[in-house]
Amino acid sequence: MPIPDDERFEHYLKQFRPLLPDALPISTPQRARRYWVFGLWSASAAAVIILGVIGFRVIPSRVPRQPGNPQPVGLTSPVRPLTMRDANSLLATAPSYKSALDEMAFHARGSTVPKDQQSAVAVLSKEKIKL
Amino acid sequence: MDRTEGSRGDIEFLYRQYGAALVLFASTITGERSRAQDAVHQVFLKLIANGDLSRAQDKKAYLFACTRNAVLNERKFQDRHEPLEMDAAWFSPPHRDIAGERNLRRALAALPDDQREIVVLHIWGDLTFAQIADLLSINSNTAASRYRYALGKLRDEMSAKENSCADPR
Repeated sequence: MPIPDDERFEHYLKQFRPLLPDALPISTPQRARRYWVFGLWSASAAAVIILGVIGFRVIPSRVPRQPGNPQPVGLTSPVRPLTMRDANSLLATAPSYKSALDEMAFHARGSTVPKDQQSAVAVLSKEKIKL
Repeated sequence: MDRTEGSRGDIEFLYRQYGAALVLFASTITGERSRAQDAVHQVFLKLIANGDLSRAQDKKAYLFACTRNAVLNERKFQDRHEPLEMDAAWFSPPHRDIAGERNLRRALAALPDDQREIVVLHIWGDLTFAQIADLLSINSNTAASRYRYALGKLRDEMSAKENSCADPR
């Protein structure tokens, strides 16, 4: 390798390029922050959906109370007891085992007191009793 | 894009522009490329965290000075003054001249620290003798004369190695 003078030698040395370094380690936290923000948004969306579903289920089940009417306490229609025959027919006709069991379970009693009568419990609940 | 993002972008641009030369410069002080790279990363991460480089008049010279300080501080902290050992390649050689790259590394490592610094800063850092003098707190003429002396030694070292390779007797 003939190297006659400094200038040419400098030129020769400059042909050796310094190796490129690794990337700065700053992309990882940025990506982590992006994931964190995405997670926050996902959690918020899930919370909104859950609250919506709960609200949708709770609101229709609320029965509007009329101030003059007492709470329903008495039975106006007799509840039919569950017999083996009913159970068999339910199991035979229901689309699934679970729905048959649901049918056999207790149901809400839609009984009300007639308008001209009052429930004793409702009357007592209105009275202020000092003990 | 806010100011912080803008300055961060500028700093990342400077890293892409001068990162290779800075890591080479640090490698010629530490001898270990991984430590050199850590020191350069440390410099740039601090710059990103602490603000911008707008106050630095000569950004390139400032980066070399910061890198030098980081490497020397780390060496002082570890209290290690071992002879320079080259663990990995420093250069991408022309025409895949791997032997030439190794030869150059050996020749550089054989130079005294103060001469090696000046050679690397001038050839691969593209710093002028005035910038080097400012960085190393020496006279500009001293920097130039050390460079000429170092270049001569480097050339002799490399030529001797080339000749010994060509003539194995």
